Amino acid sequence: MPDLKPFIVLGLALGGVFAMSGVGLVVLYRATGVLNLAYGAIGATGALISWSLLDATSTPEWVAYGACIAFGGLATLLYGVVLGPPFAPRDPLVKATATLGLLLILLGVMQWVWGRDPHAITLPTSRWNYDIGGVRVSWTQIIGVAFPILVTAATAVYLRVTKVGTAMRALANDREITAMLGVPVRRVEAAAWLGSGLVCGAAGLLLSNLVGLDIVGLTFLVIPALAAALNGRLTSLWITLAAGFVIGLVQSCLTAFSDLAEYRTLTPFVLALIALLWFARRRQVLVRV
Amino acid sequence: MRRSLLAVAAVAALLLASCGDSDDDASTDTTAPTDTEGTEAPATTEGTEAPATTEGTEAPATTEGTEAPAAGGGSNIQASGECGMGTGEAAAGEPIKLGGIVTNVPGIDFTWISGMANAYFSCVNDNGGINGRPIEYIVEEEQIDPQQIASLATKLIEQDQVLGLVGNTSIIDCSVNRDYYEAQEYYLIIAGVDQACFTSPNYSAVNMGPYYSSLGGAQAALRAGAEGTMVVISPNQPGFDVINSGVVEYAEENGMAGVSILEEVPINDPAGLAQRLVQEAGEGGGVVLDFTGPTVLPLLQAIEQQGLVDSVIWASSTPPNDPALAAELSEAWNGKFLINAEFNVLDSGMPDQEHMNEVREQYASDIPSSSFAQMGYLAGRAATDALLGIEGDVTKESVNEAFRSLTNFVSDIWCKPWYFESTIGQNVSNNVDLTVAPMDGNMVQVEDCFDIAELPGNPLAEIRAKEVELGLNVG
Repeated sequence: MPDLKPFIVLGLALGGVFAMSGVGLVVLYRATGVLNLAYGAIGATGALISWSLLDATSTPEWVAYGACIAFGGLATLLYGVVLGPPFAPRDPLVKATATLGLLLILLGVMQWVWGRDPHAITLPTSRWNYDIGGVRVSWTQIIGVAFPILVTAATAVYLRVTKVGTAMRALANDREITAMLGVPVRRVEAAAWLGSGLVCGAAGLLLSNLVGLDIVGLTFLVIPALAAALNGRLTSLWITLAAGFVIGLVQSCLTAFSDLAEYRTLTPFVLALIALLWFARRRQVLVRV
Repeated sequence: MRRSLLAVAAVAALLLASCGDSDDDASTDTTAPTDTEGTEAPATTEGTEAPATTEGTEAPATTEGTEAPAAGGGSNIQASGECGMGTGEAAAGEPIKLGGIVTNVPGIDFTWISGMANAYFSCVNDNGGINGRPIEYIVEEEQIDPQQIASLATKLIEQDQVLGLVGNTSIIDCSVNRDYYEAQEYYLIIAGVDQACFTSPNYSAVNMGPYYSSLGGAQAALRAGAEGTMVVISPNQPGFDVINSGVVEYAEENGMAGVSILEEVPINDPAGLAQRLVQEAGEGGGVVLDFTGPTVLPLLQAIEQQGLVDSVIWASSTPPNDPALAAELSEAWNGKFLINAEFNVLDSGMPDQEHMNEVREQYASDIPSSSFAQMGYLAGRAATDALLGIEGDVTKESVNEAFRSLTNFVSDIWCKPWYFESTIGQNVSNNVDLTVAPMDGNMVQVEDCFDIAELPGNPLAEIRAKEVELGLNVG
């Protein structure tokens, strides 16, 4: 039996960032109906911009890291403001596919600008380590666990108590009626794009440390986040949060077992499939009742 | 309904992304070591310290009868500022068509090799070409698809009618197209990856490929004191189980257990994988990584962040021998990542290496200075040398005859001269390596040239006997 303690720590940290990304996806989907598949690519681009600032300029570290988060917010906001309105009346599938275009553009740009050399970012928090029960835990990992919980709680409160949050929830229910009631739909949507993008930038920064600054790897880490969001049925923030942690934890712990390690990348898919089957079965039971 | 559709599409995307099997092959045979020919005994290094660097400290044990990389002055060494004929005038005659096929998929990008070969050909073309005729180099990229790569070979030979193939570097080209190349009587100067590239008389690789390079990494790890279990990990791609088998066999020959792991690339959880590697190897064991630089860096970063640098002896095949990678690693890795280098260090200051650096800077500055660049440069150099030696018409027959006739090609980038000798039946002309390691942001040589281990599972003993008989690999 392998020693699972380090895998649990790694899984919780990684799962936390999956969860945070999932929450960002859910908030955006609820407000705009867009499932942003370019989430990972935006975070990866932001992280590479930070790397460039640190590597080629004398930009202070925290400013460079802030640039990653800011890029996430601005790039997402720009997409939402420019392409959000034309796509607004379209089917969610069309909207999601459009974000694939953004993903491919960003992937191409990253390969073109940064594709040749290996890159690495080490946050100061990754250098602050503690040995807990024989397992090395870094502050980046602690942030990876705590920050998503904080973000989810703050988002839930924001959606419940603020005017913009209430408007976002109204948009999630019915966009046309919300617009007829005088809610400034585009401004509310822009706030959702911006908020989701900022979370995306933060996730990109954390993942570049927890997983590594690999262009393709980071881009497609949207998949576990997507699986977490699906587990939350693209509506529940707290279920999305929990699902993200479970995905990270299961995937990491499977790594420890030689015979199962090869199947660990299936974890997000399997858990999403189980969740969908469960929801489908529950709906059938409710219909019968 | 719309949400259901979206969910189904998302799950389909997840399924696609999760596709691809992985295959781990663990061998835990711990039979007593046998005294294999040419397999050197581990140096009596204390603890698990990496070999000392060559800078002011003693070098680790090297194999008998090998020497440092060939110094400048050999007949093939290129003078600064010159390529090919070195006339300084652009070639304007009818182009001589050469072709190449390279793999380019996420996590495995061999286009640097063809790019650097092309850079050298461009320099040749600006210096009189091949007796006034420029080289036209047609490169095709493949995505590890047998049908695609078979079509590309046919296209190059039958449609483009290239006279020779140079710089091919592919995961599957040798396996898929070897019969075709043999039937068409093409003799290829390549950078080999899968083992089929080293078992055909129609190929000669400027490198030794990941099988032998990983083996060299394992030898360095053993000399550095690795004990117990030797783990080797490669991308989960066709043929890499064979590549890993050399390290496993070498470990078992030396009384260690050997474990082979194949991993999907890019690695999506490097921290977890780092933990697994250390647990598989056990405290003081050895781990040989066989990934490209951009793929291995997140793994090295994860190893460091988890305090696992000193848990085992870390070694690698050639690709991470890249100054850009060294620049990204912290001091924690100083001398502790033993990379088998199929070529001399990039800042050796020796004439050919300096010439390569000049050509790269002038013609392909976007290609990183790396072992891949060295492979492309050497393939281009060897091909050009062969073409310049043709007397009479430059035809498919004369080009391929010139390629296969290359012997004892001297460059200070290799430990020993290189040759294309098809009478042996299997070419591993680059079979003597050195070891480098990151040190304060640079790659430095930590071991002198040493013979890659002869094993029952590889043909090196037979090849070296033939080299002696034919007077190859000398000069």
